[in-house]
Amino acid sequence: MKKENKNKKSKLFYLIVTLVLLLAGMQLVMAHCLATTGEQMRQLEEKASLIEKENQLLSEEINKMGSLNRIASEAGKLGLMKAGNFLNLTPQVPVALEKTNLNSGR
Amino acid sequence: MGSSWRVNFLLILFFLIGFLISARLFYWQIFSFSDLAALAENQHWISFEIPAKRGEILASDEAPLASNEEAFLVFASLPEIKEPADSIADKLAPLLEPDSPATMAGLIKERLARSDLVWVPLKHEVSRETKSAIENLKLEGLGFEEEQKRSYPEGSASAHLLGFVGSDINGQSKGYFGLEGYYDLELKGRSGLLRREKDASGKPILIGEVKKEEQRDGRTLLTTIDRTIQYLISEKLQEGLQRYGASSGSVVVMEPKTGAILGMAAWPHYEPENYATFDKELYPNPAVSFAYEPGSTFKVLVMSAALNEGVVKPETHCDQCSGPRVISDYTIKTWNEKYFPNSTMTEVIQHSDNVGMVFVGEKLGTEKMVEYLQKFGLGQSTGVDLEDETSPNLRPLKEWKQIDLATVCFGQGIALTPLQMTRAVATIANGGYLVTPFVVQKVIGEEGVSEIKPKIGEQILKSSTTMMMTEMMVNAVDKGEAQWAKPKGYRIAGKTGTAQIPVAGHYDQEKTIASFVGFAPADDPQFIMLVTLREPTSSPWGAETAAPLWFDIAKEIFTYKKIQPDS
Repeated sequence: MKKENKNKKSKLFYLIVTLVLLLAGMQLVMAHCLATTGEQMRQLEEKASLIEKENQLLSEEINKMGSLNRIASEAGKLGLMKAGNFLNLTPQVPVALEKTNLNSGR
Repeated sequence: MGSSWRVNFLLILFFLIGFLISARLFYWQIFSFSDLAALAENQHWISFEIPAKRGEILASDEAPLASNEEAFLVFASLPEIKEPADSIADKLAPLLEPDSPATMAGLIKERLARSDLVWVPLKHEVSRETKSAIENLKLEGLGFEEEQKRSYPEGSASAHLLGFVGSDINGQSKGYFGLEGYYDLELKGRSGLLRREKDASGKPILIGEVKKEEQRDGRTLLTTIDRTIQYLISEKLQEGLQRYGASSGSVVVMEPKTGAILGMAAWPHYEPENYATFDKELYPNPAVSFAYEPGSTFKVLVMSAALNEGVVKPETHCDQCSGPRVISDYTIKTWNEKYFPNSTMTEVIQHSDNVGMVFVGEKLGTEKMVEYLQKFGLGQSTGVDLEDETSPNLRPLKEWKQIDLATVCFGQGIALTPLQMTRAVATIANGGYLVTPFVVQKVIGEEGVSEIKPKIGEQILKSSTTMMMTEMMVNAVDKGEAQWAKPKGYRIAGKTGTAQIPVAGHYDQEKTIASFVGFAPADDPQFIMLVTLREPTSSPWGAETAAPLWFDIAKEIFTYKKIQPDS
């Protein structure tokens, strides 16, 4: 009976020690995670702002390239000329009207 | 006795120490509370201002007319400066101010010599390229702070229409003139603030508290401006000013049925990005702030009023057109001193006959004349959404004399802005309705899009009147002085104008303002346009300067808008 009690006590002791060690380990892991995730978050924020900046630079480039002043000057450099004469085509009077009663016997 | 003295001494000592501690605590808790709380906050809070982006201004095809560009503030941290101020200034000045390095060098030296400061700004809105060049100098103590700079991809073509962004008295960005000024509150947005708990090394604590006040970026404006028309009128106006030797000029293109401004250009203009290097007198938009006497273009308004009142008809004959008229000691002549006895009203407009118009004015009478001028929107702002609009006063009815009635009939003795003139003539083009000109059609924000609908005012001319007047204007173009320049096959309604410029109480015989107002195609007008040229030297007449320029621009618009000739 006494031996059984002693066994039970030592099991409880080992359980408690294991639990304490486990929790301490978990605490360490969590603390480490928190510390590194903070750093990761900073890096991600930096990356996001970098991408945003890149995006803005590209928009600026598009604006510059799409400006009519630039297009006109590039066209001039390429030797493009403004069309002088235009031929306006007016709709022709139809020679025959489309038959609309083809299916009238249906 | 001895022990009692020691006890009393200790008591007093404890009391004194207790009092001093309490006093110190009281001082910390009550008097220094805010300072210490701020100190504590600074130690474990990190704050970032999240700047709001200024909204863009877009043309009707959504291409940007005004946008934002990355720029930098160059600053110096004085304790970290190692090189002598003179050497730094000599190296920096040519990069920061290539046009006037000496002035810039002086400014840098002055700022670097400040002993009461540890941080001094050297130059705002420095480009990325300049930043790289400065970094290559490897000067210690210099730093850069990112900021935004306004950019105008289409250059100066829309300078007067857009305005510019400067600073207010607190150094904050503020829009001035044009759309930047009128819509400044919408465009500038509101800066945000991010506060986050930090650890001892300054890194954010993941499970720490975060307080964020979101920034609200400025709203974007979608305008009615057609980028191609804007570019076109700006280029053609510059060419026209050179060709006709005029000192300045403006072009307004508007949709007559809605009042939507399709283009508005004036010359000389300025670069909105470098506005500070230009004369301040160039900032206001002449199309909405410059008052001028319209001359003969005004005849179409007087004739419309008379037709609308039924006092004349297109075929009414003028029985006083055989020679000059003398009114109140003034002699009214025609512009070329040719007279057309018994001419019809259509011919009066065709010949731009001043004497014939006096006949019309007398038929209408002063009271009706003033009533119609008010109906046409004269003496009041047009309501256009541009900051710099002004409106010359209209003379009150009781102050009108007989000579005033006579001169106003041919557009002298009355002042208006080019936009007021365009708006008034648009009533003839759109069936008689007074529209409110507008530039912005949509305001686009994070919370949604608000649409600005055209404001169509009351009908001031009968539709039959506008049809008669249109025909008279078409006839004036087809048979008038400027018929040689008219694009073939199109029905264009228009009228030339040449007004003398009042100088020191009299009219200058040499200096004129030449103009042409018209709309096309006459039967279904897609645009109304007013061209004004100040002091043209090649010829003083509108028919030989402003009208050919009008037709030249119209030809391009016909092609661009795919408007086919009527015949």
